Amino acid sequence: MTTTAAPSTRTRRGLFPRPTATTGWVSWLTTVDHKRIGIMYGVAALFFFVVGGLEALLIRAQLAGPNGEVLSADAYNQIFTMHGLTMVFFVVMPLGAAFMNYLLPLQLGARDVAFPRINALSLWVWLAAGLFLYSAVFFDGLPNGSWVNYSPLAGQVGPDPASLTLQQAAAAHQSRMLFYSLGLQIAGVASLASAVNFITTVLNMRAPGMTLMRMPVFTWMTFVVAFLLLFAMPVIGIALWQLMFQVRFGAPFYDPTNGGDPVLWQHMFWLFGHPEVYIMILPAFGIISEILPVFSRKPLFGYTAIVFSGIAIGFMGWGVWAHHMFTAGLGPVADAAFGIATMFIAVPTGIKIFNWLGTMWGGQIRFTTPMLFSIGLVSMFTIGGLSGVTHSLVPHDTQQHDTYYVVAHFHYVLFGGALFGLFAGIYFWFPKMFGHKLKEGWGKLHFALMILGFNLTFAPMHLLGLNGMPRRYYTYADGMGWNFWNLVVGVGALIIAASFIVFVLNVIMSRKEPHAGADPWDARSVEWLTSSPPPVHNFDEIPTISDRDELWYRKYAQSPDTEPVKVPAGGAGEENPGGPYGDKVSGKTAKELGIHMPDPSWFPLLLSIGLPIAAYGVFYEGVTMIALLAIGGVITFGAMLGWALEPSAEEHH
Amino acid sequence: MGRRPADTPPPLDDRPARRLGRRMRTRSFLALAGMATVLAGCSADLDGSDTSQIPGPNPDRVLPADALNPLGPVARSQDQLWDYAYPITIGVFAFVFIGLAFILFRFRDRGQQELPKQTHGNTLLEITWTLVPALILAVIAVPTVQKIFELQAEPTEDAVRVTAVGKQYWWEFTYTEHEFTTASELHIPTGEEVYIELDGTADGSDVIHSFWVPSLAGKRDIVPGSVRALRLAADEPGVYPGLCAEFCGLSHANMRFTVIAHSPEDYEAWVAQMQADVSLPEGFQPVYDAIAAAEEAEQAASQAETDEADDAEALREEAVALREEADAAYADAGEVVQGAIEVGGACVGCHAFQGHPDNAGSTFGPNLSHFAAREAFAGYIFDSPFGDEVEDPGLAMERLRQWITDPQSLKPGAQMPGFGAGGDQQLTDAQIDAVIAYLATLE
Repeated sequence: MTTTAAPSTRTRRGLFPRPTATTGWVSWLTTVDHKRIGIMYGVAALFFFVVGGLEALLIRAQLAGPNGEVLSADAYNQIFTMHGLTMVFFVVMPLGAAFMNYLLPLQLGARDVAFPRINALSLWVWLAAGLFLYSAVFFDGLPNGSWVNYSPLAGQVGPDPASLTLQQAAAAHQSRMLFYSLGLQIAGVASLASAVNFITTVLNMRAPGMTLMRMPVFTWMTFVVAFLLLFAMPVIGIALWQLMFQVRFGAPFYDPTNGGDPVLWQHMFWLFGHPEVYIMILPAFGIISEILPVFSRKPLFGYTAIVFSGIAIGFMGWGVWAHHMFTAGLGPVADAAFGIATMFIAVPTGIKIFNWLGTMWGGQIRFTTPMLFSIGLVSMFTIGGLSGVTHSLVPHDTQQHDTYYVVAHFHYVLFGGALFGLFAGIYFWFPKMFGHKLKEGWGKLHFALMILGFNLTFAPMHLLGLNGMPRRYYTYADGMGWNFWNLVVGVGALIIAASFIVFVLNVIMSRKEPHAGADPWDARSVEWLTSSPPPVHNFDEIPTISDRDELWYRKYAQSPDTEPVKVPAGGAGEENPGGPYGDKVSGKTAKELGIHMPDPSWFPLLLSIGLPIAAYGVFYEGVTMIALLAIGGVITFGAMLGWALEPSAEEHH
Repeated sequence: MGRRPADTPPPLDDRPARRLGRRMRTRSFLALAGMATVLAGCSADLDGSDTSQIPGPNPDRVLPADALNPLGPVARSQDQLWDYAYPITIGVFAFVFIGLAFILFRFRDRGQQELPKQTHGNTLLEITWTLVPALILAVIAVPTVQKIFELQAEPTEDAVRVTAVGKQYWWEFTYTEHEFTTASELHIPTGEEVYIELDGTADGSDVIHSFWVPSLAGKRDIVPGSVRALRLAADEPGVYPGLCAEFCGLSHANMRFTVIAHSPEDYEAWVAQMQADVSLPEGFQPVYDAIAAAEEAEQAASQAETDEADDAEALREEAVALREEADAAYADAGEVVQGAIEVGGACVGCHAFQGHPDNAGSTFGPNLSHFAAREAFAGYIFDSPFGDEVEDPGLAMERLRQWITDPQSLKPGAQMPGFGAGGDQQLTDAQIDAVIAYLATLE
């Protein structure tokens, strides 16, 4: 294809000529630009949000009344399992990753991440994992063991529907469990690659003067999350690998009839699973720690406390996993230890809440859409945090465990917390990413519907749980006292769906909004210093950082008694193109400016195709198995080789 | 079993339930949830559900599966912890929300020209809001740890011991002391501690299930390969719904059971009833013997034919005669006798009928020795037509028949094979009628 033709004077030949397209779909497939990768993460994650949301609507339709007949038991189990997997691995995590990709270099004052091609690899491998997992629908069905997939249920064939013989049921079960274990293993590769990349970027790519304690809080939380990913992913990776060997090759890691231990799976899963909770929530905490100061017109209150409480959550998050297992019978000593640890992880979380309140205190609060979503997080997460404290009342947790009370709790944390924060981020950084704001009126309608629908959906679940309704029930009998609230929950779910439609309409209708300029919100951090959207190279000139809220202090001088005053002429302002923004964006390309940027590459995409092909091989026997493993292996390792030997597109390096 | 004198207090805390307090607490919970539109309660009568469809005993006697309405000392002890901590969480909630509302109102942008004071933090405040929550949590931690150890203490000497096993998708209860096994109904004496060993090492223990009787105690998992335990007790005679609370496969939602608490005297009577052998109908033995004789003769004839023995022909004639005799005896016998015969062929492979001559003592399916004494069947999801409290005997009978012919249509994933047309093992309609007629006699 013409777009990828290499310059004739190239001195070294790679496996492919290095692509050079800057527009068109090839440029997106081969891009290594962190901003484009971030946008693709975001768009794909929102697509999966629609899928996971439709699954949620099916669940609620089935449970809207007693003896629901929308779904069979088998279909219900597949759908609630996929709802969990989708929302965790293919919505909340990648939406966080979208912001990390987009913002990390911009907030650090860098031109890109440390390893741009690995960044592209993360995206494509993650997307391959999602498509691989959902391709199960064309085989013997989607995974149906719940997202925690406890053994022995995961390892043995339960009796399956009467339409299947035992042999067919065994094959179907094996296929579903392999999609679970292999799909998540592939997704884990993407997370690990991102983790290494972000840690290196933070440590090595900061602009002059950007000390660690001057980094924006979102960047700090990305840094913490990267470490959590780095240590959590190997744990689940090993567990998934073992599960794969159990269901495919009969290795009895979790099979109690053969010397295995079902509780070991629970420990492995939750040793990953609990840090995973913080992997999902900390980016949202970071996002609102950026937004609250901007719309309060005040610096973040207690920056140091917020950063260190984030680090503390990251550490303590490793010591509370067994609170997911209080009914597993670990004994009173373990129950007490994990109960106490669980209580005290509330302390750093509380510190964050109080500091956010402190940020708003004494400010000039502008109720923009991003601010509303941020306030939504502060309030809804508080409810989720408090119900979390009640889980640490171990004897009473044995009443709450595996009921809708728990479902209510983690949706308050992950939807009321993480998703509200992520939507705040979308509204806040949308003008930076696309050059124009989303419509405020529609945004506020989105927020109003979402917080209403959210509370109608998840608040009644507290009551359902305490009234004895266990989770993962595909049906319930009339007369249990659960009818009314389940109906309310169903209505709430529809309102959430409506709120998302409002969001989509907003995105479509805002296309003609006027250009927002570099700094539409009067913001504080350096990503607002460059144009919207930023040039490929982010900054014509790398900014030198002398303050925590660098941009703010370029706009407003500070008097000795901390009364801010506008910087006089020569500083900020539209009438001063030579002010804090104007001199940074010339409109010239990187090449014209003599800035070396990483070249696009096909290899990340190519490598990501190899992994699912090899994974399909595990499903088969004999020649087919070997052939698929070989093809997948050749693509994967060939791509690595080509990657390593890939020349630069530039004539002279 | 040692009996506790009537005046000795039950083992754990016995504070009477404060129902009004609970209802009010439910309301404050609503406030927490921001659901001002909904005014009260969450009980079955409010949501218009039809309690008559709850299987099992008279719905008026079935108590709600409500963790906030404890009806035994263990659940009450757990609930006390909630009562203790809940106001604290509501206090924190109110503090944060009122504070937030105040801030949002007081510091809203009024279009001022002046920028606000650029404060960066306050060390004293940071220390305060680190230490105060930590202290509050410490206050919650102390009773929590006390209760953790208290509720997992060893059982008292004279506790009633029951072994529970979860199977896809029903519950088996073995009364260790009395050496009998039953299914789906856990009968206990009131006021006594019941120590339930959740045996994951028993035959037929398959995947993880979780034993939960919300109004009597929190839940505990049954983990294959190991044994866990749970204590519970009931204050008053009554019927307490139980549920499987750990996802266990297709019919996880259809794996219910019931705890039925009796006065100690009634409990003793129930134990005696369960210890008795299965009832065999009058006239059963001659028919059974005739069939046995015919089978024996047929075997001998077949053996002789295989060996090409001289008397093969004579033996065959004898066998045919005996078979005719047996068939005639079967045809003349009543339906109940026929059912008892059919059970010996079709059911004993999976179900125990203790005292039946064909009983193999199988624990693959529920023990049916006293099937008619139970109020519900199929994982306690359908009223038994033979129950004392059955609402609609016609419907119940229809369901029982459907259950025997095609269990999958009622309960997906059930391990019972279908005996109707197209099933793995077939019984004629008449034979199924006979089996049901016999089951009706198994009090």
